[in-house]
Amino acid sequence: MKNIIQSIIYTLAGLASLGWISVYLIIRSVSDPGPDSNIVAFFDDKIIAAENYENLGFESFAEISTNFFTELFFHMNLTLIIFTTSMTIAWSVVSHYLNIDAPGKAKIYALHWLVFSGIYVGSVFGIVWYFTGTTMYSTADLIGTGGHVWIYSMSLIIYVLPYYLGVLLGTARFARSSVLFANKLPGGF
Amino acid sequence: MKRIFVRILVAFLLVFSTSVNAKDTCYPEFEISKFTTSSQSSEESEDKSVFIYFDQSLSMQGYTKDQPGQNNLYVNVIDDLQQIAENVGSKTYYHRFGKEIRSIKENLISKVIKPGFYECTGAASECNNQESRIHNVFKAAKARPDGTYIIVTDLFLASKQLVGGTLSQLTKPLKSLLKKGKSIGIIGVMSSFNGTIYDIPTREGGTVSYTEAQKRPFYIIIIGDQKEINQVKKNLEEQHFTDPEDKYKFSLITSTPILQNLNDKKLISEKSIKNISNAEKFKFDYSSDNLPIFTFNTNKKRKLNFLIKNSEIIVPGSTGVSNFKVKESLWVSQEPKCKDINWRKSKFEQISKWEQNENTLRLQMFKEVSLKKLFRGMRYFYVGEIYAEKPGTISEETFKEWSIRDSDAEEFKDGNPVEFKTLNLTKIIKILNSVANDEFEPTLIASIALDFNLTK
Repeated sequence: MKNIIQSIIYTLAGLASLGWISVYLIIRSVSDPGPDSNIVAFFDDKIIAAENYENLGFESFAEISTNFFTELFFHMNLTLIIFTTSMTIAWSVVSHYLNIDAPGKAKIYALHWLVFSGIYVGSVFGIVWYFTGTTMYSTADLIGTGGHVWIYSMSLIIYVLPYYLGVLLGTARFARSSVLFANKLPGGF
Repeated sequence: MKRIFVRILVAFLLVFSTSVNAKDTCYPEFEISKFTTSSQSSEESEDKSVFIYFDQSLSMQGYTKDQPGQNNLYVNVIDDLQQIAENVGSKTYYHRFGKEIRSIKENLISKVIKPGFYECTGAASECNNQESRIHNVFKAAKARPDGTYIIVTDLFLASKQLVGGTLSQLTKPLKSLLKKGKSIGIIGVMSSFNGTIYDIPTREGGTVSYTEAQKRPFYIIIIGDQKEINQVKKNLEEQHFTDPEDKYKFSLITSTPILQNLNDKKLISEKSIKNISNAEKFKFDYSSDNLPIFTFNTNKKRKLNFLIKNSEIIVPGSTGVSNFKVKESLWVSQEPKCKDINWRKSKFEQISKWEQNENTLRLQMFKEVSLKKLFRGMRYFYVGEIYAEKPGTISEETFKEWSIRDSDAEEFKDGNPVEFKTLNLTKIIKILNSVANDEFEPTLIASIALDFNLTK
């Protein structure tokens, strides 16, 4: 149990290294960043299809950004951070029960990790698609084609990277298979 | 007690009046164009004079002689023309025209259906039957536009009469008449013929005659108000064109081929947009200025097709309309609720697309700017005004089978046809149409508004 708690602490430290960006975005979006903020300007520039709102008579994205941030963006980031944290902690805990002592132990351990991580990354894509690509949130219409690429890329950086660091730090340190595998991963922890 | 009651009443009225205003201000500010009625004379027929002109050229003589086995509609129709004219106006004046216009005394009218009427015993230079200067009749109509003019002719005009100065003699008076809201009705009747058709152009540049024709169309041209033209047509149909074998054609040349504005008589209903009544929160109402407003919630998949029957907007027998223009505006509000409404006018200028078939005009709303391009969660207000922009060419098609070009006339004659065609008829109709088109002004057919929330 002591090892598990230690792993969770390491995991949270790994998540926090980049996860703070997500927390920052959540706080900014729930409180509506406002028309003059940098984040609105960035979205207007990179993510939102200006032609669509300009044709409808709006001068800038700032005029219609409130619902986009307070609903879509807030809900999406909140979902992603909860999901990422849960998955990272789950791996850290489960890894303690994956002390494989058999020939090819590192490979078997890696297989489990790759399947788990694959499910996680796929789910991240699914969550982003649910919020930005379906009809669930009307403000998703504002996102341009290039904007979707930006959102997927940003989500990978903001969530998958902390997940990677989290599982790397939080994985069961005493398990030989885990150590052997960890030694082979980029980062060399 | 009374004071309390008055206070309650005042409070109630205040609330009521506020809600009415709130409802009014819930729409964006816009102006609807008004339908301008045609400048047709509304004068009663009792005060009208009818002028009947008979073509006295020698080619017309063949209509008066019976052809065995063929129905002579010319004699029957001309016989009744006096009575038909009396139905249209109070006083009828009869004339004959050829080289010049001469009046006919009432007691001599019956001679029009006799071959002798078209003969000239004197010197050819003095005869009135060597040519038919129909432009003189048009000129007379221009001088007294309040009358109704009925011209009976074979409309056999050579190409040289349809160019340059001679053409302008034809078109100028007609232009003036059309400008005054008058229309020109052409009734073509296929009748038996037993005579000579003169002045058929040859390839070498000369002319030849033809005597073998047993049938040939003659024309009754009516210049006047649409109502009178239709009355003459109706009378003829009821009295003479009853046999299915009787061949006749009708065309109305008018600068106002639009029958009516659909908003004026509130002819637009909730059925005008297919399946719209199935939409969520659907409501249909007319505003105080007769603008039909369709209110509903919709998703992006809905097809909005506004249908108009051609018979509701096009004057029967007229050229019709070949081009429509839709003047459109779209407003958007991020907040759908009335109290928070903040309309923005979109930059979209062409939102819908129209198409017309034989029976209907279909406006495919949001075809050019798809609903998919709009943002969900917002409220939209669309106003579309449909204008007839360019008259059609239906009448040219109507008479096409009875027309023969100058260049084909000799070959056609050499084929010994039993049913002879009219020289340059399509060209004449085309010229008349182009005169009408010059006077045509874009006319508002219908205005429509959509007030909708775009949902999932």
